[in-house]
Amino acid sequence: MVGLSFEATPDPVAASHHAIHQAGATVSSALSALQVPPLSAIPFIDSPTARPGRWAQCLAMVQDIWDAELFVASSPEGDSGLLVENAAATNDTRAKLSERLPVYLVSPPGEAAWIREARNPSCLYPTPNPSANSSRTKRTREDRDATEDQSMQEAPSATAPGTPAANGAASSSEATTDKRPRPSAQGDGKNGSVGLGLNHPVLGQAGAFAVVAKLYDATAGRELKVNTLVRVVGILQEAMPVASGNDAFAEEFAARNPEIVKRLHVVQMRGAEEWEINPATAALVANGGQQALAEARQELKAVLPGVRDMLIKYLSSALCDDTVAAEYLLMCLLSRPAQRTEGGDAIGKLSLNLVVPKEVSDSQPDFSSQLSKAIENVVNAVVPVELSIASLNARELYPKKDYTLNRLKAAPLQLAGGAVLLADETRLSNGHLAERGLRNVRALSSLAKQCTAPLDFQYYETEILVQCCPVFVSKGSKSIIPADVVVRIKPDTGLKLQKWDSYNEDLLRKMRLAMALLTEQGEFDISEGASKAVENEYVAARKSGQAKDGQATLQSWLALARCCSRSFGEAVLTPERWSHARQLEAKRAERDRR
Amino acid sequence: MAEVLSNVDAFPSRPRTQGDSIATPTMDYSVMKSRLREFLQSFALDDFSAGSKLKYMTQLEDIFRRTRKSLVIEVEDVYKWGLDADNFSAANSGGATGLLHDEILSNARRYQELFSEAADEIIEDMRSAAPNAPAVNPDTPDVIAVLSETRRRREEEFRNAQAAAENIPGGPGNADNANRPAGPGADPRNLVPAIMTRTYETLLIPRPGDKSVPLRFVRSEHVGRLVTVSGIVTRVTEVKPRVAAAVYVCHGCGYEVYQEVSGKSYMPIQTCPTQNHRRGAESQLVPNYKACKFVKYQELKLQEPADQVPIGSIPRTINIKLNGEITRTCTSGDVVKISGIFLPMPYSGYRAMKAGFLADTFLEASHVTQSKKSYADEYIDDNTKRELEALRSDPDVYNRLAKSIAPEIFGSVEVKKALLLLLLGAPPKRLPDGMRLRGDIHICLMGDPGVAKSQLLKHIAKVAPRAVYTTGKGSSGVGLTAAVIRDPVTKELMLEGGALVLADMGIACIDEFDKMNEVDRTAIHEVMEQQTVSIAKAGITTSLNARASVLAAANPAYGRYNKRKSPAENINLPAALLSRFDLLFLLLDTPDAAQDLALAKHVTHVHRTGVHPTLDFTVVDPKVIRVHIAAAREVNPVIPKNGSLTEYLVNNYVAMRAQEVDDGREAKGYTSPRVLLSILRLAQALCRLRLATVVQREDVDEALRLMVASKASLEDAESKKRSRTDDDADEEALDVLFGSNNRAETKEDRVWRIYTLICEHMDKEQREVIDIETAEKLCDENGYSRDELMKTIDDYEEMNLWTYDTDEHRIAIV
Repeated sequence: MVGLSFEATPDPVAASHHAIHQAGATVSSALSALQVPPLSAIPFIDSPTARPGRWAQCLAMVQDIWDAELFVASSPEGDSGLLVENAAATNDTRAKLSERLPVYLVSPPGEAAWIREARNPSCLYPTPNPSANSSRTKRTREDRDATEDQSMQEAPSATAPGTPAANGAASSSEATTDKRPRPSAQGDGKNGSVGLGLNHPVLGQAGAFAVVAKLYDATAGRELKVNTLVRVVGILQEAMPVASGNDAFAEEFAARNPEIVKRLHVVQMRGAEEWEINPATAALVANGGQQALAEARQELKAVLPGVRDMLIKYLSSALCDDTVAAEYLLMCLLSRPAQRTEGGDAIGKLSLNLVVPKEVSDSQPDFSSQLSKAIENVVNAVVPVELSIASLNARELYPKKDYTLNRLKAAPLQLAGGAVLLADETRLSNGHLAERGLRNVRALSSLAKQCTAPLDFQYYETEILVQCCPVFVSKGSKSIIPADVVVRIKPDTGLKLQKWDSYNEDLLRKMRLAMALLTEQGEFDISEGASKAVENEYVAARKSGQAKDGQATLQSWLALARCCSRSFGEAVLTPERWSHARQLEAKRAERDRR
Repeated sequence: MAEVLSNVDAFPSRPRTQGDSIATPTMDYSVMKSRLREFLQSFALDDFSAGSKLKYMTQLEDIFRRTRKSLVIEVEDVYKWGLDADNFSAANSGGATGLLHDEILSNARRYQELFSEAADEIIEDMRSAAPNAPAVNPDTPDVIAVLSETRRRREEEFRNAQAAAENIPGGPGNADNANRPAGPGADPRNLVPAIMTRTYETLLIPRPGDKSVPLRFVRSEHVGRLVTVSGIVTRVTEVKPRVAAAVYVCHGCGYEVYQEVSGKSYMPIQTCPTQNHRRGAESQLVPNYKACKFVKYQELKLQEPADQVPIGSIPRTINIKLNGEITRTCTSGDVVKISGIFLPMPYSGYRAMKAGFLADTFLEASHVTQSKKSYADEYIDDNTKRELEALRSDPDVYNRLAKSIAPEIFGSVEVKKALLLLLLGAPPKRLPDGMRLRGDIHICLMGDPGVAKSQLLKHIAKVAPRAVYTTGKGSSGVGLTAAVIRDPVTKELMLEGGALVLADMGIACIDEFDKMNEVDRTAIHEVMEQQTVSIAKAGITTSLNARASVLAAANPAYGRYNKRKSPAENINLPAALLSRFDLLFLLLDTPDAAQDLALAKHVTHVHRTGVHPTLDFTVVDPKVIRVHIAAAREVNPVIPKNGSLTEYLVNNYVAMRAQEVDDGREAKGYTSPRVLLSILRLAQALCRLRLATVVQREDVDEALRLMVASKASLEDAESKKRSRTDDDADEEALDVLFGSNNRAETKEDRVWRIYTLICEHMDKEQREVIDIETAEKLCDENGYSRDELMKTIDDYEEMNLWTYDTDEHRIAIV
C-alpha cells in the first residue's frame, strides 16, 4: 500500500464520526474537516491495493441517479451512519437524520486499452473481484463478515499479486465455477431487463468496473447530469448483503442495492475534463497546471506538419491507403460538440460516413474491427457497435428506464469524454425493421445530426447531450443514417504505407499526445477575410443553383472548415484554410460522380 | 421487538434534524387534544343563506350515523379558527412554540391521531346523549358495529364490576384504569383499541396556498411534515387488505384479545395475557380473522413530472402509500397531486439487523387530486413578473413576441407571427342550438426544403406547454387518433389515445404531412373541424376529445415548388383538407443576393459565438412568452354587435371570392365560407394578444393581411418571372383583348406541354431516355419550335427533373 502523507487523515471514517458529534456540526462540515491525500497517493477502486474503509478514487461516467436514502447522521449514543454502509439502529428521537444520494457510476465506456494499462498496470483482472481483497494477509473486521465464506474458497488459489497473469487466469476460472453470482464483464442483464449485472453500456468491455457512489452534497446531487465524467474521491466500502423481502417493490430493492458492486462514499466529486483521461496530458497538468497545456500546444505548432503527416499516414494505412479519407477521419476524430445553439444544433461536431467499396469489404471482412483497433491506439475511447437487422431489433441502443427495477438500462449510446462511436453497417442486409429497430435508427440519426441521444422514460422522452464522434462505416453505398460528410474510400495502390499495427510505442505516444492537444476546445473565431470569402461563395453558389439546401448547406461548409482548422491546430479560420477545406470537399465530391 | 418498532411507527415523534435546537418545551398532548376538540365543536362555516353551519360537527354526525367514512380536516380551517379573537389564545398556548396550524403541519402524524381521539370522544358523547338511538342502522347492518357494540357493553360491565370490586370509581373509556397491574380485565391488551371501533379515517388536507414541493427537494427536514408533491404515477400495486387490528380468541377463557398493528409486519401473540386461567389450563390464542379489522392498502410509485427535471438528469421517484377511501383513485400514467405525511420506514427483520436505521422513505397520502397540465401551472418568479409588466405596457407586443419565437431561425417573420397566433388561439364558441365553433387555429407550412420548416415545428413543440410532434411517415392513422389495446393487468380492451388525443388542448405538430397515407390523412379531417375523434372498433364506440391545434409542414407535389404548375397542383392536398387550414403558407426558396448575404452573415456569427447575433430588439424569454400567453388566453374577445366591423368583413370576403374566380387556374387557395370563420379567429387571437375584449378593425386588417402574406412568397416569384419575359407582355395583352375567358397558351404553358409530351412518349416506350431527334420530331408534329424545345430542356434540367447528356444527345429522366 502506498504510504500516506502525514497530512492525510489515517482513519477517515472514525474521524468523521468524531467530527459529526461535535456541537453545531453538519454533514458538510464533518466531511470538509477530513484531510484528503494527494491524488497520486489514492488508489483506484479497481486496483488491488484499495481497501474498504480507506481512501479510493475513480474516474467514471454517471450512468444512473437514484433516490435519496435517509441515514442517521448523529445520535446521542454516538452512532453515525456517515461514510459507512451499516448505520447503527437507533430509536432515539434526538438523533439527527440526513440523506445521501446513491449514484451509479461505470467506467468510461469504450476505454482504450492503453489508458487502462497506464492507470492500473498490474491489474489484469477482467472484473472487480472480492477475491482480490482476500489475497492480502491482513483483513479488517468488516471485510471478514462479508467475505468470510468466499475467502475460504479463494485463499488457496490466490497467490501473491506479483504474478498478475497467473492470478488473472486463476481468479477468472474461479469466477466461472463459483456458486455465488460473480460479477463478470458479461454479467449484464438479459434482453429487456437490467438484471443484477454490472449494467455497463458496452457489453463485454475488459476492465469495466461499476460502483455505487453515495453523494452527501444535496445540491450537487440535484444538478448532476447523466453521461458526465466525474472524478470521485472517497471512502471505499463493501456492499452489504441484503435479503429481499416480499414487499411490493422487492425486485426494485434488490436492483437498487446490488451486492456485486462496491460502494464509494463521496468526499469530493467534480466533473472531469477529457484531458484528465489521457495520462500524458494529465501528467502535464499535474506538473504545470493549465499553462502546461497551452505551452504544449504552442510547441506542437512548431512540429505540426510532421506530426500531422504521420497521423494521416497512420490513418490511411487503416483505410486502404486513402489519404483523403484519412483527412476526413482525422477531422472527425478531433471534432467535439463544443457549443449548443438555442435551436439545439451542435457547433463543432462532425459525423462521418465512410463508404467502403465492395471489393475491399469482400477481401477484408474484418475491415471495421481493424479500423476500430487502429483508432483505439490514438484516441481515448472507441465503442464499436454492429448494426444489422437482428441487432437493431434486439435491444435498444439508447437508455431506457426499466420501471420494474426502477433503473436506467445502460445502452451503447451512453457515451462520454469524446468516445468514438464506430457503427459498422457492412453486415446490414435486407430485412424488416420492427418498432424497436425504427426507434434505434431515429436515435442514431439524432446522434449524427445533433450529438444527442434520447432517454426514454415511458411517459416522456428527453434528450441528453453526448460528447462523441460518430463514424459510420457502410458497404457500397451511403449509410442509412444521415451523416454530415460522406466519403467514398478509393484505395490507392500506388502508395506503400507502413501498416498501422507496426508503429512502435514511441510514435504512438507522440500521436496520442498530438491528438489530445489538437482536440476541439476553447474559442474559435472566423477572421474578416474568411467571413467575406464565405459569404461571397455562398451567394455565388445560390445564384448558380448549387446550394439547394439553403441554410443547411452553409452550416455544413462552416462545420467542415472549422474541423479542418482544428486539425491544423488553428483557432481562427483563415481564407487559406477555407479554400483548403473547399478543395477537399471538391475532391470528395468528385468521387461521387461515377 | 415488534412492539418497539410498532411504537415507533405509531408515534414517530419527529427526530430532530440538523438545525433544530435541542431544547424545546415539551408538549402536553392532552391539552392539545382538548384544544382540537374545541375546534371541532366550534368551527363554523359561514354560509349566509342558511345561517352558519358547524362544519365538523356535521361531518361527525354523519359519521355517527354511518353515512360517511372519512373525517376530512382542512388545515386552512384551523388557521382561520385561530385568527378568530376568541380562539386566539387557545390556538397559541398549550406549550406550542408556534401557531396551531403550523404545529399540525410539522408533526402531522401525531395530530392526526389526536384529531381521531378528539373525534372519538365527541362521538362517544353523541352516543351517550342518545342512548336509545339505534347504533346500528337497520338498513345497513355493520358487522363491526354489532361486534363492537357487544364488546363494548361487555367491557363496560366487566370494568364496572371490577371497579366495584376494587372500590374505585370506574367509567367508560377510562384509560388510567387500564394501566393498573391488578385485576383480570386490567390488561391493556384487553381494552378495545380505538382503531377497532373507529369507523372512519382522519385525513388532513394542507392549505391551498402551500405550493407543492418538487420531488428533488423533499429532504430529511420534511420528515413528519404534511407535504404536497405532484408527478406522474408509474407503478400501481393491487389493493390489498392490511391488518389494522388483529383479534384472537383464547381457547381457555374465551376472551377476545386485541392487538393493534401499525407496521408492515407483526408478531402474533401466542398465549392469552389475561389472568383468568387456572394453573395449567390451556391458554392458547387462536386468531379470528373474521373479527380482525382490515384496511384497504395500495402502494404507488410517483415520478417527477418532466418540467421539474433539469435537462440531462434523471427523474426522481417516491413511494406513496394509500389507505382506505383514497385507494383506487389513480392508475399508471395519471398526472396527480398528492398531499400526505412524509415518513421514514425503518427496515424490519433481517434487513434491520444489517442495515440499521438506513431508511426508505414514503409518503402516507391523505389527499389525491388529478391534474391536467395546462398553461396555468407555471411558476412565476419576480424577474418574470417584471418582464410581464413590461410586455403588457408595450404597444409593439405583437412584433416583439413574434420575432422572439425561434430567434435563431433567420427571417420568416410572417410565419412567426402566424405561429404566435396559433399559440394564442381564439375562444371556442358554443351556439345556443348546441353547435360548437372551434377556436383553435390550424396552420400549414408548405415549401421547399431548406426553409427551416421542421425547425420551426420542433421549436413550437418545445414552447407550448402541451404539444406533440410526429412525422407523417412515422405515424399511422391509428397512431394519430386512438388505438385499442389490451390492458396487461385487467385483460380488458381499452382505448389509448394517439398523438392527436394526447395533444388535446394543445398543439399537434405534424411534419411531412404530404407523405402521409391518404387513409391516415382522412383521420385528421374530423379532428380539425369537429375536434373529436370517433372510434368504432372492437366493440367500443365512443368519441374522444381532441381539441388540438394542428401545425403541419409539407413539401409541394414535386419536391420543390414547380412554378410551371398552378398552385393547386403543387399543393396537392384535397380541397376539403385545404379549407380546414386557416392559413396556408407557401414558402419558396428563391435565390436573392441580399437575403442570402444576410443569412450567411447570420450563420457565420452563430458558428463563431454559438449565439445568434444581437438583434435590433430584445428577445423575450420563452418562459415569459408562455406566461403571457397563459394570461392572454383567459381573455375572451367579442366582435362588436353593431355592424360596421361585420360589414367590412363581409365586403372583404366577397372581394376575395371574386378575386379567386378571376385568377382561375392561378388561384392560390380555396376560399370557402370557412375563411370567414378563420378571419374571425385570427382577429380574436390578435385581440387576445393586446389583452383587450373588443375586436377592432386593425385586428381584422392584420388578419386579412396575414392571409394575403401567406402567399407572398409566391407573389415574389411570379413577379420576378414576369419581369424576365417582357417580350411576352405584348402577347399577353393581345390575348386579354381578344378573349379573357379563353386565354391562349402562355409561354409557360407551352413549355409545360412539351414536357408532358416527352414524358408521355417515354412512358409509352417504357424507357427513361429519349434521343434528341425523337424529341425534335415530337415537337414538330405538335407545332412547337426547336427553341422552345431547348428552353424546355434547360428549364427542367435546372429543376433536377431530367438531365441532358451533351455527348450522347439524350435526355434522361433522373
